[in-house]
Amino acid sequence: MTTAPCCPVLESIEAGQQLPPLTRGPLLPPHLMRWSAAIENWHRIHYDRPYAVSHEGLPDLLVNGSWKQHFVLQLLRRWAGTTGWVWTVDFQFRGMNLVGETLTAWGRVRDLRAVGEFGLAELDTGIVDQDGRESTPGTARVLLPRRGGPALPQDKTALLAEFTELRPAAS
Amino acid sequence: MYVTDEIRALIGQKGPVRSAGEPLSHDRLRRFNQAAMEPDIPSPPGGQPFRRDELAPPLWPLHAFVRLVDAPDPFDVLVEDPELDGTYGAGETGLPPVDIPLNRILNGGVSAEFFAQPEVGDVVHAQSEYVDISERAGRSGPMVIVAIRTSYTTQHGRLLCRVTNSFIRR
Repeated sequence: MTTAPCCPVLESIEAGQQLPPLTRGPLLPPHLMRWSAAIENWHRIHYDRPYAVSHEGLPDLLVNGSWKQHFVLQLLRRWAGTTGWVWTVDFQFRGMNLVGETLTAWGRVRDLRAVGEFGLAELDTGIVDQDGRESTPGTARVLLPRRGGPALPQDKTALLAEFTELRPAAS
Repeated sequence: MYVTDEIRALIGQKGPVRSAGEPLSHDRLRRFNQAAMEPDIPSPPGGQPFRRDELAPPLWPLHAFVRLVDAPDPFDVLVEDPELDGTYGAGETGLPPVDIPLNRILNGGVSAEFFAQPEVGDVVHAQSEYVDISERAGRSGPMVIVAIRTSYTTQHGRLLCRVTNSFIRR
């Protein structure tokens, strides 16, 4: 496993920059079973192949959407490091991912701006399979410190309350 | 037309405040992080490292609500019906149901906003509300999109995150 260099500040990144991708897989039945057990979600489409195929009409076991949403956040947090803060994520589950696939979470900086003493990076994100097929397109906002500026506060509630106009409509 | 005035009146309704009932433990967090295949989070030289056994992933509060120690075994129903799908009330919000004859439910997407880091010892509380119910014409017929926003706090009222799930009924 490789990790990204730590830690970006607003002035160290530019629009169009790609985040170091994060790859997991091939995701096999033990991976899906371990995740189902960890979250105590026993939906059989994730670990019972005869059920998934014959009852639900699926081609095979499904990779859990609940795991895929963590996967996108892992990519973002690994990039932001301990000094940045993943503020928002939005994504759609557009396609299934099946057992045996190798998935890669990707991200690209779309826009950057200073917000008070801090920086805000807006990104496009997604998850592609080994053939490059996108299943989970989305966007994200990551707060970053500025070069020579203060660290982000531990509890972001008060800070983010000031960013009302930047808040996504759905949240 | 599935979204009648009666269904539309559900928008804005809130469910009860639910408690996960038990605090996040080191052991639970270890198993969760291992299953999620959490990567290392880099910290600057001399900076405070990310404590994987202390700090949970941002979306962990969604998974805090598991079967409590004295709760009945949900698998008991398999004796009567061994072909049940295994969901057993997962994702229960306490909201009144959206009573429409579209029973196939797809997870359409997620929108989340994060405020504070969940930590060991936090007992997660959650409250859900309907924020939108709308109808669209899909390629395979009508579909209703139900958006549920859930606010997750700690037992001390510290806001952790707000998460909106969009469910597609068709």
